[in-house]
Amino acid sequence: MELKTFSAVLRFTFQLEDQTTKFYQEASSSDKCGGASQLFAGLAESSRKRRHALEKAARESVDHSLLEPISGFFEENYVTSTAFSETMSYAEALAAANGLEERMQKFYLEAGEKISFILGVSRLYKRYTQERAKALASLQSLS
Amino acid sequence: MGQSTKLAPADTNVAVIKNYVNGEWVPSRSTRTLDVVNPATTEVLARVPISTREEVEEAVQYAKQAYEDWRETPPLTRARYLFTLKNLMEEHFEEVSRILVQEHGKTIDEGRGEVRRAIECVEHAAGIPTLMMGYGLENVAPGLDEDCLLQPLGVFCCLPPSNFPAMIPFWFIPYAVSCGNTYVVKPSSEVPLSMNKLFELIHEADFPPGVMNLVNGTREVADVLLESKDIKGVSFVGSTPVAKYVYSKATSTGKRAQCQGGAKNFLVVMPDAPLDKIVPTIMNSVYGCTGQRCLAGANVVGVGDVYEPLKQKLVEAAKAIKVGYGMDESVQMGPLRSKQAKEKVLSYVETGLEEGAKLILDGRNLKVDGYEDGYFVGPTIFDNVGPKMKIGSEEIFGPVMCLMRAKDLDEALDMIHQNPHGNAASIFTQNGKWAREFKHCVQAGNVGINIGIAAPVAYFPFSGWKDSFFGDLHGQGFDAINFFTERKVVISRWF
Repeated sequence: MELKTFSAVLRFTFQLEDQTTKFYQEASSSDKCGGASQLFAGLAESSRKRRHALEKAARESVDHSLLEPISGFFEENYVTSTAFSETMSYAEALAAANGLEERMQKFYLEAGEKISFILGVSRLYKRYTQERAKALASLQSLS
Repeated sequence: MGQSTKLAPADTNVAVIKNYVNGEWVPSRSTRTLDVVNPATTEVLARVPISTREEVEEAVQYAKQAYEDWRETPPLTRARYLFTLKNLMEEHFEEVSRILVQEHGKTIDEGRGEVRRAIECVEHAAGIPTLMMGYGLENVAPGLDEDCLLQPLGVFCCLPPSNFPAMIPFWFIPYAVSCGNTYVVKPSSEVPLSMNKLFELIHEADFPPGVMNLVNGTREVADVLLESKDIKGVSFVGSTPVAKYVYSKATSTGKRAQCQGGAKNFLVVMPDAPLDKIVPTIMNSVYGCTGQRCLAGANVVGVGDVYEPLKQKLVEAAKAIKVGYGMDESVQMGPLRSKQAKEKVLSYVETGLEEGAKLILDGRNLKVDGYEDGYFVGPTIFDNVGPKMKIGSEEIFGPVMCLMRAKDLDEALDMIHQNPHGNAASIFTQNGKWAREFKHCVQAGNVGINIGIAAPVAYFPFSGWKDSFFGDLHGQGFDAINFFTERKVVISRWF
């Protein structure tokens, strides 16, 4: 599905962050992921905070005079299977988390460019690209 | 004031909205009502009463009574009411935005962007203890001091248009009341629901009774306000002929008046403009709010060699715009506000064809699945438009772009200056000299440099020149403070 408006990009971002929060919350409370439970819990909290900050920034920055149509930006390029399963081994959970962070990093980078007309939010996307890169590095250090 | 909705039958079950007078919601005694129609679905959302002369006069009298105490209320206390209102508007941000989509037809992003601008005016006006400070000087002569005080005047009113039913009244209301005046609003009868909701928030903010009042109705209600001896000033936004009428009528009874009229805004694209960056901006300027913006780009002037590649990219981008019901977040452009508005736009397209302009993108036969009866017109583009053609000189107020050619910046400026309107104009260039020359020379009140919609923020006046504005002081910014206050100069000496 093509994301053609500022709202559509935001709604999809919230959807991705909600999935991320759920994945990390479930992974952090799984016995199998004990080695990474603290990191997962922290990532779940960061994800929740990002959603909250984005909601606020979007509401405070949206301006009818600055909106622009968006083209060539598709949900399909960023959808990833993020469901945590109790059958996952620790290594599989880490691999899934790595995949998720890689995808989110790409999403924030590309989405931030697409919504550059609302700079207050676009800047947050840039910051979150860096945050996801750091999260990825932390996950990779556990692999 | 632009009244076009048909009279509704009296026996319909749709709720009739109320007036808000002296701190209470009051049903109008009038039996005459109009339908408020969702332009995408054509559903009747509510009915709006045409208040009686007596009801309007009562509202003015309550505002006049409330003024006596309100003007004595310290500015900081008045500001605190605005802080409360701001918080309530934030809390109900989404609800008001959605009402705007339903009653006007704009997209949800546009609705949210409008509410944000309204809130910004409240935030700015809440700085009234500083904004309203006068000035003074000791020893203007030996032993003599002189001070200039800013004082409120009394009851003001506003007659807003249908295109920004939440934002435009807030160019005036928060400034007027924070200065110590009291207020009467008559919303556009086509789109009264967002203002109705905002008055629920005003009620919740617990402003003293009579400080802010809402009376519904049409032009006859506006006329009662304009004729009232107790109204000190009026703020109007609408078409040029009505702005002239309101200005003339208001000033003939000694009122202050700030009357914003229509527009025909030019976007000048210079040969060095980065087309990939500016085309999306031009799309919002021309097609945002379905072209029903007094700052909408209407005439796009390609200067020199840029014309053909610009045209190609604009057509491509306009074709890709998704039109539909604004509640769907994927929709980029909604319907026109009313059936009459759609008919007017279609009639201008016919005129354009008769005048010999070339229709290179035709939005007339657009059908939106699920909303077949909605008042939709797709993005439309005319090529080879001249500045003297009707479509090139008159305000169409719809999603119609007129492409014009100019050999250089001087010719583009000439085209702009031939037009009677002077609301806004923009230039797209990377050349500082061209940008500076445009900024300096162009006869328009709101100027954009690489900006498609030159919409001033709350702390700057919303300007407008020539036939786009009648009056001296504009809405927003310090102009608003000056409009809503009187100067008193005190010269003192003590023995």
